[in-house]
Amino acid sequence: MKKLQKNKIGREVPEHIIQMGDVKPYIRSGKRKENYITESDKVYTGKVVGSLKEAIVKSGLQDGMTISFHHHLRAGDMVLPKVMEAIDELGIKDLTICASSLTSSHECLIDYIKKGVVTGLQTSGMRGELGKQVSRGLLDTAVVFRTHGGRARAIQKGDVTIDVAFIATSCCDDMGNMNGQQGPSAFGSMGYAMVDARYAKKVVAVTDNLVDFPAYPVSIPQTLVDIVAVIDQIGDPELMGQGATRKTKNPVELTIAEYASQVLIASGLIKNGFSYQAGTGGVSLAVVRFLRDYMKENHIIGSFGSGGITSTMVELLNEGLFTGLLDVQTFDKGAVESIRYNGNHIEMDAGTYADPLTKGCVTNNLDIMILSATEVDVNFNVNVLTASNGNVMGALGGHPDTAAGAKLAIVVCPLVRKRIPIVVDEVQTICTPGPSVDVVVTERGIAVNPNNPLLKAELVKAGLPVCDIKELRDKAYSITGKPKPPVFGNDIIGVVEYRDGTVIDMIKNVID
Amino acid sequence: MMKGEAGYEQSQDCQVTVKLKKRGNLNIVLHSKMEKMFGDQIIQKAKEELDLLGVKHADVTIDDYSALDFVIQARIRTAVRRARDGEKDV
Repeated sequence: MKKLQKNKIGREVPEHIIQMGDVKPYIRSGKRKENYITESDKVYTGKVVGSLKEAIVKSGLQDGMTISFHHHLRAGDMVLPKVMEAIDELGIKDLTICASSLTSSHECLIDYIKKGVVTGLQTSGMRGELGKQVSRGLLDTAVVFRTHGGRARAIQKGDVTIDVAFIATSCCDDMGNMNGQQGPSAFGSMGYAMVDARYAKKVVAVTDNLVDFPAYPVSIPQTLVDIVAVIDQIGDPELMGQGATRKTKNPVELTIAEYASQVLIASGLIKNGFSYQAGTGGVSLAVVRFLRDYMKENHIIGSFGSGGITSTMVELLNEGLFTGLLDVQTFDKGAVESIRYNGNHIEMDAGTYADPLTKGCVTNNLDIMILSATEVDVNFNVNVLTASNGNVMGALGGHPDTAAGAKLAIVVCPLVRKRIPIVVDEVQTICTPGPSVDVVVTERGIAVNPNNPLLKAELVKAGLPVCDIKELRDKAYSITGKPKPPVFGNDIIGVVEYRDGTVIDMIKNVID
Repeated sequence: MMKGEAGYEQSQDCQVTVKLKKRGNLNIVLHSKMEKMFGDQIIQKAKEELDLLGVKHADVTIDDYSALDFVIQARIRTAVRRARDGEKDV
């Protein structure tokens, strides 16, 4: 059993893990400023190679190194699997993968972990069979789960050194100027990869669309790129935006969305120049549609919408309801079109988006953030990473970053999902600490964080069904019964890093 | 032996099959993705419902698709009624 220490939010975390060395326990949410580190790379010529193997050899990749990938192609990504196949064929082992996130297109990692090709993972999250197997102790080292802002911070600060970054691009020239907006596999913003390109020792652009110099626009410039590898296909655009822009007709989701939009209105924050971010998913998008009607009726024009951008947000931009969109990750075809043609739809790197150590990140300027949740507890802590059966099945994303930064952070979730209670005594894994969350909106009531009594008063005045969060918990349990918790072992399969680099929680192995 | 079925194979529903017997035990077999979390609770509710209906000798199969207790109870009630209706027809 590893030595544990108690952090400031009351969770036990390990004192030491292989992937991190000494673990810094979570202290508090907050913003720190530090100078941005700049780094200049030599400009090379003759960067283009015809295969991934050649690129890997040229990059000098060796056993024990750390490589990185972005997940802008999400479920359609073909680059990570193809790069890993080439690495395996070259016999390179003991690699750590530092990915912006891992999706259903990355299940090949299971085999590479079993073979010893991959021995460490650092990611925002993981899903499906990979998450299930990692939860059962597939890896010998604990996974480091980072937020999108936290990952940018860790890379910038040097907590993780990327030896070789493999960056998928849908449009690239022979010098490595690249973007994700053009070409048959266009995916939009390259926000997460922009950080890797800046700090990785070697940068390999991987493209299926080598264009004449100069590629434009330039999301990542040639000054940062060592090698350009040309392959057949980087991704399947059909799989990229799966489910992201679903227009819900589910009455429960619509009820939650309607309550959430009433909370927004009652908060008084919807006024000229306000800023807004919403995640994907049925409820979030439905809130945007309610919000749009309200803005039109009252002639309100917002400043910016940020984060992962969907066509729903693009509609508001095109109708003049927002001045600009700041896009770190583009979720669907409509939004890819928009970032390509609309100058007010602006690409933003992950550091600008959410890195708490920069001299100003966008999340800290947010007025309103709509967040989803896998579980919320009576202390307003939110879990977005592990399922009720204990398996890792989600991702931190920008959840903790935006919740900390936004003036009003609203969690929208059903009280019960299928038979699973969502408002519970204690979340399994704390991802976003309760003090960051202002309101929890469910279809059966709205709970306001006690540290925000003024907001509570406004919501009561507006006639909204405000109740204590413990009442929500009791209602949930009365519908579903109290589930038996999963059985965990003593191995630590992952730690959850807060955006500032402290560790807020840990995840133990699930025993079947 | 009389058989009754109720419910559909869809999310938040369950399919219940009841075979009434003249003698023997009350056997309940549960298949559910929620078995680890809610298995005991579902079996308990099923027993209560069957007891209420006076069913003492039967083989009951519950194929659960994350139904809430009231759904499971309703499906059991209908399956039992159908099994008994079949009995009368003979």
